[in-house]
Amino acid sequence: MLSPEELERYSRQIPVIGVEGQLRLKNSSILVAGAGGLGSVVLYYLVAIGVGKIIVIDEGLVELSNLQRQILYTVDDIGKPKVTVAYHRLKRLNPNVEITPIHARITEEIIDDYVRSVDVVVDALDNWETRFILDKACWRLGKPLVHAGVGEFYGQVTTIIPGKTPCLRCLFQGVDKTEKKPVIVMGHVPGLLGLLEVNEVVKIILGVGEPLINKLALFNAKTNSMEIVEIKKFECQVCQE
Amino acid sequence: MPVKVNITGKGEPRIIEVSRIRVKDLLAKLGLNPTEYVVLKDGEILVDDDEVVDGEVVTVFTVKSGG
Repeated sequence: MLSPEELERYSRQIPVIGVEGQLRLKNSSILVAGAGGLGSVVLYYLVAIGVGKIIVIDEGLVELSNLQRQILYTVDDIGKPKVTVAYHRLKRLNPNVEITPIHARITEEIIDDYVRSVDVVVDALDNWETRFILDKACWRLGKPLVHAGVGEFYGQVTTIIPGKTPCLRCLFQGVDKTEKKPVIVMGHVPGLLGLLEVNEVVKIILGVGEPLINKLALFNAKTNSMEIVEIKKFECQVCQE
Repeated sequence: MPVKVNITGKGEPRIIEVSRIRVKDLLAKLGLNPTEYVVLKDGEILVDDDEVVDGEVVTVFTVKSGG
C-alpha cells in the first residue's frame, strides 16, 4: 500500500505505471555494486523513483578526482566512505527507501549473500576483475545483472539474464581482467549510461518494454548515437559448464 | 572476396584483403587492442583463435571498463 505522502511524491509517474506499478517498484530490491560515476546516478534515480530496498556496496573513499562525475559527493565528503555519504544523502532525497550501505570490497566470499537477497543487480563497477566476480554470483543465483561500462565519450549497456543470455565473462572474454587503470571519461558520460542502467532495472521490475536481453547498446556521446548489437550465439565455460 | 569489417562508430567498413585470418591477427592488422574489442560474426562472439574467411562480414566494437 502507498501512503498519502508516497501518492503525492510519485504523482507524476503513477499515471504512467499505475499504483500497481509503483507498488512493484516499492516491493523490489536492488543491489548496486559500485558507488562511483555510474553508481551515483543509478542510486539517485532508483531512490527518487521509489524502489523499496537498495543495498549499495563499495570499498572506496571520496577523492577530489571523483567529483567531476560522482554527483553524490561534495568537497565536504572527501576522505569519507562513499557508501556512508551516499546513505545519508539518499535518505534525505527519499526516506521511504530502505538503504543498506556496505563499505567493503566485493569478493567471492561475501557477495553471494547480497546477490541472493535482491531481485536485480546493477553493475556500476570500474574494473573487470570485480565485475566477473559479481557476474559469476549472479549466474550461480539466477539473478538479472544490468551491466554498463564507460570510457572517454563512450559506453555500453546490456542486461544479463542467467539461462537466456551469455554471461558477462563470455560476452567480454577477450578483456584483460587484471587491468587496473584510472577511469578516463568525460564527467557526464557515466550519467548518461547510468540512466540507461536505471531504465533497464525499471523495465525488468515492471515487465514493460524490451530490456537489452541478448543485445548490447553501444553509446557514442560524440555523435549522440546508440548502436544495438545483437548476440545470437555464444559459448562459455562459466555459463555453459 | 575479402573480409569486410564493420567497426562500430568508425564510419565506412574496412576491407581486409585476405582469404583466411584469425581474429587476433585481424585485430592486429586493424591496429586494435584485443583486450578492448569484441568481434561478432552473424551475432556470434568470436574468440582470438577463431577464423574469419573470404567473403565474411564481421562487426568489431570496443568495450569500456570505467564506472
